[in-house]
Amino acid sequence: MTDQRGPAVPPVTIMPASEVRPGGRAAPRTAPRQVPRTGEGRRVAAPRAAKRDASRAGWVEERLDVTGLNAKYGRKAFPVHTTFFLGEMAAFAFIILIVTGIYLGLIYIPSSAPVEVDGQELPEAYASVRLIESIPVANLFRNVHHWAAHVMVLATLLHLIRIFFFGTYRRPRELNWIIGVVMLILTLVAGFLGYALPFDSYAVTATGIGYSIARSIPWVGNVAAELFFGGAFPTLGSLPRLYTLHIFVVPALIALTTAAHILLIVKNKHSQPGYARKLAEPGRVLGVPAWPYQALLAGQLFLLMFGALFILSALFEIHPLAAYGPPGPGTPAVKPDWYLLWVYGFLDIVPASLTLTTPIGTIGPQFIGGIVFPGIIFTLIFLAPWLDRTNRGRDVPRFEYLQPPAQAPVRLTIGVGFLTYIGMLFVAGYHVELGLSIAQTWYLSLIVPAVVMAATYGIARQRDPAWSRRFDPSAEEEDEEVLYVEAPRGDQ
Amino acid sequence: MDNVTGTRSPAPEVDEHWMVNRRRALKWLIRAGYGAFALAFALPALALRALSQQQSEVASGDPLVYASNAGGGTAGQPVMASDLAVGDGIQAFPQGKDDNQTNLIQIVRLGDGEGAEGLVAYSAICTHLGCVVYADLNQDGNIACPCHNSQFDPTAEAEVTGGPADRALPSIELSVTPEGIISVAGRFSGPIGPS
Ligand code: FES
Repeated sequence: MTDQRGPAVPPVTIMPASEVRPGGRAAPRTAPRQVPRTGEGRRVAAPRAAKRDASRAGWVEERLDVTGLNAKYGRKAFPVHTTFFLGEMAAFAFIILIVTGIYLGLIYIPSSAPVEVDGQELPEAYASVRLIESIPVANLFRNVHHWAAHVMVLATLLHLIRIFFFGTYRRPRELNWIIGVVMLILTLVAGFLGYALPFDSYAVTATGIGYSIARSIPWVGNVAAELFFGGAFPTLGSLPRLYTLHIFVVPALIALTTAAHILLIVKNKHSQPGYARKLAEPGRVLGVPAWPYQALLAGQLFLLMFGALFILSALFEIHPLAAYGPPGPGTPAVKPDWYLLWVYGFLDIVPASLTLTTPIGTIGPQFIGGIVFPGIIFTLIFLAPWLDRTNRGRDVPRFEYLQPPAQAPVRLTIGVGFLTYIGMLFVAGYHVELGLSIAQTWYLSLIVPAVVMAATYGIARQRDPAWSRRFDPSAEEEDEEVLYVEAPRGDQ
Repeated sequence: MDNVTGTRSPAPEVDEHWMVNRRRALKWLIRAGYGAFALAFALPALALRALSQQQSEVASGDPLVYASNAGGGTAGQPVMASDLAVGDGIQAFPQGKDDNQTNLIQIVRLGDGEGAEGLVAYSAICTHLGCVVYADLNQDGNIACPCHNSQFDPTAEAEVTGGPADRALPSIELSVTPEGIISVAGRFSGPIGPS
């Protein structure tokens, strides 16, 4: 383990895991070569070129206190585990969405006013997206934008699932769980708002359904719908409003919640795989330092995603305008993307008889299917930290380690059942195509998750060691070379 | 400051009670200021909701024209009573009023007859979530919606026979001019679309 880091990096104590006494403090093997810190002491002895460098560094140092900053944040330890990159992937997808979105926004016109193009009357927005499609690089960016949206939702979702199954939403990280779920909702909303923009037949249909769902809310529905859709959708007021929400309001909220999310990670420290327990004392995080190792890994991941999305977009065109054409008097048979398909599936099978007349208005199947049901689903997700029995009682002050799913059969069972139910709603979305009646779909959507849950619980209770170790991160990476133990606050 | 050493110049005699109250009042004032600031931004949003443009509505006597080129017609051409065979369904707009999608009318011929006899007409806007129903009847003879598969029976005042819709499609009376053009003779029997 030679020291090849540049002079700008302050000393990082790196040691092979074998040098770390189990359960004890980390002890350096040999005193690692001390790289002189930039600053006074160094400038004196340095030769000429280095001197110039140093004085340049000194200029920055004087103004930004890079050393101090690095000591404070650059040394934050990041636990190493493959599933710890899902949140980063979501953030990177968000960055790619912003970058490509800026390009699209330079060309796109948020107006549904009719314009004449090649003798055909088209909504201006549609015509501008057609222009985007006719410029190869803009078209590529449009595809990347669309694919990145899928990746962002997927990564956010997988991140949430990972957090859930390992029980790290528990004390003290409940608040960050809530912020994370809010971020998922914001991401879904951003995706939905994006549906409207091309203003093709699909866009008008899907957004129109969203508008009708918003309007079905008793009492406030009309005001809310007109506020967000700029009047009775589709109207001339709609696109400017949806566009502003899509490109500014919701992304700004996502950025704000991302900042809060990261801040809370720093504040609460990372939860970590169980193997850390053997190598570092409680309260210390075992991992690679933010700078340079985590930054390098994350940077590679970003470039990889960037490349993969461009390849994907170049090979698979996604939702070209011609697929649905300009809005006409008819409605194409459309289904939303997978991330909203579960709501669609439930809307499909909610019985029409579920209509209540109350003094404040009628509660119809639209409201129940489109608002109440997703509301219940998200409320349950929000409440997970409080519904989890292991999070009650004070015998463990803080849950610092991932709990392998096999060690928490109840949580595993509920999580798997929940996911299966959502999966069955995808089936419900296709019940007509599958030849299932509404009643059959209902039975299936309840029986299949029940069976899956029973099976999961049965298997999990066996505590088969071979099986459980597969999902136990504590079994891996014990000989990781670059792990180090984060110094406690105030040590530096 | 010269009281870094901790020595303070003797404070002038003040009424402690009054100081505390004044501080509390100021705190509330600041809070109220923030509240007013937030309201000043939130309230104008309510005015923004009413930007809908004025849209045309169906009126009695409007002649009907084909909404699209589907179903053997040409968009914008008048719909003749003789165009429809029994079991046919087509969609039409009141002439010149296709700016408003909710004016779309679904016409079905249930039987042969003189004039408007044998013809029924409903709003083509699904009462579930506002999609446009299929112009063609499905194999059960129902009007079906592409979005969530709600079905309406054209022979029985478009009552719901399946799917999540909870209300029949509103109907509208038709008449046929001496030249054989179908036109509207009344108003929709209820609110259009989901509501
Ligand atoms: S909009 Fe027609 S069934 Fe939902």
